[in-house]
Amino acid sequence: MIRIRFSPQWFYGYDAAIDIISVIVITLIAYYAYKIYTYSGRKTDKWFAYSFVAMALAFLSKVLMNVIIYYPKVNEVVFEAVNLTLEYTGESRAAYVLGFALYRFLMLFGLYGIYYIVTKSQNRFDILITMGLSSIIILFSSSQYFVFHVASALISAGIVYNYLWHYRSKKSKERLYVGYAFAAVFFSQLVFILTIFHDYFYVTGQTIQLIGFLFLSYSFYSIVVKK
Amino acid sequence: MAGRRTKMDIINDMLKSIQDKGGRIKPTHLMYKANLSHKLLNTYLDELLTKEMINKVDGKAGNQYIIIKDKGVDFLNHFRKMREFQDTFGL
Repeated sequence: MIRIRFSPQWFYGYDAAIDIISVIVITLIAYYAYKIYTYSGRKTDKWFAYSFVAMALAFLSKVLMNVIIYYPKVNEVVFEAVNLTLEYTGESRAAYVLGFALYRFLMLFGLYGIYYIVTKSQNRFDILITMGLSSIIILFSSSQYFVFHVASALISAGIVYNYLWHYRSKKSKERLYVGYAFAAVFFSQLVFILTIFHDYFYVTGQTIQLIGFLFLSYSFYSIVVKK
Repeated sequence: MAGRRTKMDIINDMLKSIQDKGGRIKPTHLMYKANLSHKLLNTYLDELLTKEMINKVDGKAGNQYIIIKDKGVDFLNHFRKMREFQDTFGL
């Protein structure tokens, strides 16, 4: 048996909506970064866009997996009016393992990409090795869920540190908000770890994630649309 | 920005120099302000003329001036947003 239901029943659909909002915000930023790359020709802009595309695909795969796997089961649970732990076997399990492995890999790839760019790391080999090892641990460890969220939280913390450190030298509200956005991603990853204790932590994590992406969308709007 | 200027940087420097001078500038002044050789200046001027970002007009004393057009102003606005995006996201 495998546990794939983290959300309380009343939150079904809302979590998907939050993920879709995240996908929209991330896609807009990826599109604009790629547009800049077509003008500038700078690899940094290109890889920043690819990192955001990876994150968008990660959230999209998470939404799709939820739709494929557990939404059909919701009706079943509601109909029977019994709070049961569902068993997932065969195809459902395979879809879960594949879908969430993809989600974790893409999310990690995206976060690593952003970290690599904002830290202006020079050693590409180091980042490849780190990412390779992390992927192996996350995909094949028996505590995948825990390891993935700890790794994501650590990388997010590195990104936040960089944004806020550079904010000291060049103060701008937009940069500060980008720092807040990744701080929210960091806290959401920490809270997601606690989901194994109670499903309300899943709701809290999703809400913090939404706040983070709203900060990000505000920064994007302030730069690209408002001015 | 440190390092070698990209084509975009050069075009931005040229258009900004024109804008800073009130929208019209003599070619020689532009060459110095944008820090370009005579050959490069002409290459970029041809490109900007083709893209309708600038225009050449004759002054009262028979001097030639370069003026910035709406497309050039639009480019400057887009370029400023792009730079701000890059700065904000640490690119």
